[in-house]
Amino acid sequence: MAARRGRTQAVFYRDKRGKEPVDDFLEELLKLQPLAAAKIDDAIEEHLNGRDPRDPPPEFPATSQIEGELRELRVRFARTRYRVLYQRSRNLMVLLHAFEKNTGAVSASDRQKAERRMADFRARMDERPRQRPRAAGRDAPPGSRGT
Amino acid sequence: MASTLHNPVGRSAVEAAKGRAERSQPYRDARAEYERIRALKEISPIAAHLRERRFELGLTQEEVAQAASTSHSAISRLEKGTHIPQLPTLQRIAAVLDEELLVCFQRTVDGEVEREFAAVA
Repeated sequence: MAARRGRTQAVFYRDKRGKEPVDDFLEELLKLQPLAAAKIDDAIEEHLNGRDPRDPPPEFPATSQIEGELRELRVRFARTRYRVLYQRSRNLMVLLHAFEKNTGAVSASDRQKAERRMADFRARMDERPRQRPRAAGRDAPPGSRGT
Repeated sequence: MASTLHNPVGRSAVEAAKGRAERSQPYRDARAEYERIRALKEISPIAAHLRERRFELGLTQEEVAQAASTSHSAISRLEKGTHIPQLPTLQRIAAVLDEELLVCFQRTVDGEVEREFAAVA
């Protein structure tokens, strides 16, 4: 389902090399366990897409707080538990890190990986140039009209 | 202008999922099954839970029925949400699915909800 205007939309975090780690994880899982990949995608669509950004986060056990604004989407497939760490940025649900959970709590290294990616996401969003529309024709500054 | 690669906002999850559905039949079938399970949840959360669990463990209705000493039709009706079996049968089905059946007693005391779980012996 396409996200409606003003509603949340789940998107993959993309690093500087153009890699999308959560999508890469899902593609690998698709080769080994396509049903589990389907369940994770289903949970992303059900719980993270199409929400009012002002609403509180999806309730436990669908999601839970990791630290601050960082949350985890909790998915169980048969006897395996998966986690997708994400954070909201305006109406975007940024999917930062996905993994199979084998320990009791989310490890510090998994949490830090997600935090580093979110910090990078924010920094690069802030540095993206916001160019004003170029003046053309009569409004263009003298010397830029090619005359 | 920033290049596409420089943009930290990657593809939408919905778009990526569509690509996976186009490439994998098992994935496509599973998405359809999860959609049915979600609809079933509206009618009977118990039925939806058991159907989802059976599906993920790769068991047929017949296999669950045999292992839980019940009939195939009982499992079929259960998974349609039209009939919930009695507790001992439900307990056997849960055990086949590697789960334990608990009953939750709930009461409201001074406006506060209290819940107590008990195993079905």
